[in-house]
This record gives sequence, C-alpha cells and structure tokens, in this order.
Amino acid sequence: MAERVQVEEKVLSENDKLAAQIRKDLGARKILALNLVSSPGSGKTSLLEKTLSLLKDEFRIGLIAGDVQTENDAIRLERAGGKIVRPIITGGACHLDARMLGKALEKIDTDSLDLLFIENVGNLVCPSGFDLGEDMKVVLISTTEGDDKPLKYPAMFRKSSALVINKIDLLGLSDFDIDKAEKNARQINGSLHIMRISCRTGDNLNLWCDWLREQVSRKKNA
Amino acid sequence: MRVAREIISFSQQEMQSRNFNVLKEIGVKVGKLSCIDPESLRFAFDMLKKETELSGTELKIETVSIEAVCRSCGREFIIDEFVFICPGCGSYEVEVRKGEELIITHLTFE
Repeated sequence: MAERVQVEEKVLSENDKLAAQIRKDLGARKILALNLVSSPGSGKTSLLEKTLSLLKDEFRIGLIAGDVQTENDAIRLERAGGKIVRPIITGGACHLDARMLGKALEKIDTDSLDLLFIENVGNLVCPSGFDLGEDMKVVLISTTEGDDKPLKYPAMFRKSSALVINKIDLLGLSDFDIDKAEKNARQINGSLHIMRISCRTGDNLNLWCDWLREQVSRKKNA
Repeated sequence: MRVAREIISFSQQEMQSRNFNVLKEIGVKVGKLSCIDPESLRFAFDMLKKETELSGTELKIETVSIEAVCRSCGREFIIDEFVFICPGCGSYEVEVRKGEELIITHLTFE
C-alpha cells in the first residue's frame, strides 16, 4: 500500500536557516556584507586589492576569500593591506555555503568591522543558489569574456544588486560590446547598478568607492 | 550534486522517522530560475542513490515556469527567454512570482 506524504521542504532549507542567522548577526552589528561573484579570472581578487588600497583607512574591512584549493587569494589580500582576512578552502565544492561562512566568521572579531567582503568561488552557476546571509550580491564580469554572460547565467544576474564590468582598459582588443553587455544585464535585472571600471589602470574606481560609501552609510543608518 | 545529496539525506531522515522501509518516489519542484538543470539533477541523484536504501527510488521532477507580474501595469506573464521586461508596457519593474523553487514536494512510501 503506497502512502504519499506531502512535505513541501525547501531542498536548501538548512543553508537558508544558517544564512538567516548570519544576516541577523551581521545586521545587529550594522556590518555591510557583500557577496562577490564572477567567473574565474574576472578580477574579484584584484578588485578587492584595489578596494583595500583605496579604503582601508576609511573603513574597517573584513575579507573572506573562498577558493577550491590554495590560500593564494587570501595571501594576496593580506599583502594588499587586509588586516582581517580568512581563507575558506572548499575542498572541491564550487560555491561557498552558509555553514562554511559561519565557521570562518567565528574566527573573526566582527565587532570591529564596517564592511565584509565575501569573495565567492569563481563560478556563476552554483553560488546563486546558496544564500550566505549577505546584504547584496555583486556580480563581476570582464571585457575578456562574452558580452552575453548575463543571458547565459540569468539567475546570478537576477539575484545581484550591482554589476561591475572590469578591464575596460582592454575594450577594443576583443569582440566584447560593453553597451550590449549592459543591455543584456538590464534585460535580466532592470534595477542593477552598473559600474564600468579597470582594476589595472584604476579607471572609474572612484565610482565603485562612492557606491560602497553610500551602501555602508545606508547600512549604518538602517 | 550537492542538491541531490540534500534530497537523499532529507528523504532518508523522513523514511527513518516515519518508519518506512521502501521509498518509491520523491517529488521535487525545480524552478527555471533555480539554476538547477533537471537532467543533471537526475543524473547526480541516480548516481548517488545506488549506494543507499534509495536505490529503487524514482525522482519525479516537475519544472516550474517563471511567472512574473509587472509592478507598473499589473500585467501577469510567463518568462520563457529570460527577458524580465513587461511585454505590455515595457517596464523593467518586474516581480518574479514563481520559478525560483527548489522544493521537495512529496515522498511516496510503500
């Protein structure tokens, strides 16, 4: 005799519960938490290095660097002046989850932070399904990729609040059409805040810094 | 892979707590915006189940279309090609109502 039981259980409910707890803890301390996502090689670590050099005297910045193997990114961020850096080695997993982040945060004195960057594993698919308790996702693409990235990975662009287009110093050297990339992104998510920058030359990094200042102050006054 | 593992471990716990020995079917809803490919999920599930008491369990996947409503004009529509723009008034203020699901809906025991 077959018996059908309705369960209506979210598959990632355990992750969602842990993420909600992290969001509450960080929120109580008024820390702005940004989950930085991109393909491998778009420039997440470079963007964080630049951010540290420009803002480390203005904000107390914590960095969590997720990687499948090696602590190389975390080492780069410490060299760039990051005082509070924790690596997460996922050991094969292609995304960070709330449990991994929670463990890393236990090793950080979060009372002393204004801004927390979570550098996710380079991957535009799986990280979009795993809430980490962040305030926002920031998605990064670069001009050496295809301008159809938003169309290929709609979920990630839909769930992100800001889009950073990096390596604008290389525009013209590839077939990347930046206006088309923006149009594609807006078609997925009309409220995306888009910034065109170059980490290498420093072009427009002031736009990124201003946006961060605004978000940090919004969080403080929330 | 991770999702398939979560489905299996949740089902195993339910099976144990409800005192059943055979799980015939697991029903899941997968939204088109959940970034889970149903075929990959099935492949991962079928691979992982072999070593468990769920080796005979069928995974029934129901895909859920992306349903949206326009915040400007109130029009309701289905999104096929990932264009989140209202086909009525052209607004980008589009709210997704359905399509992000990743849910275990039911378990059929025997």
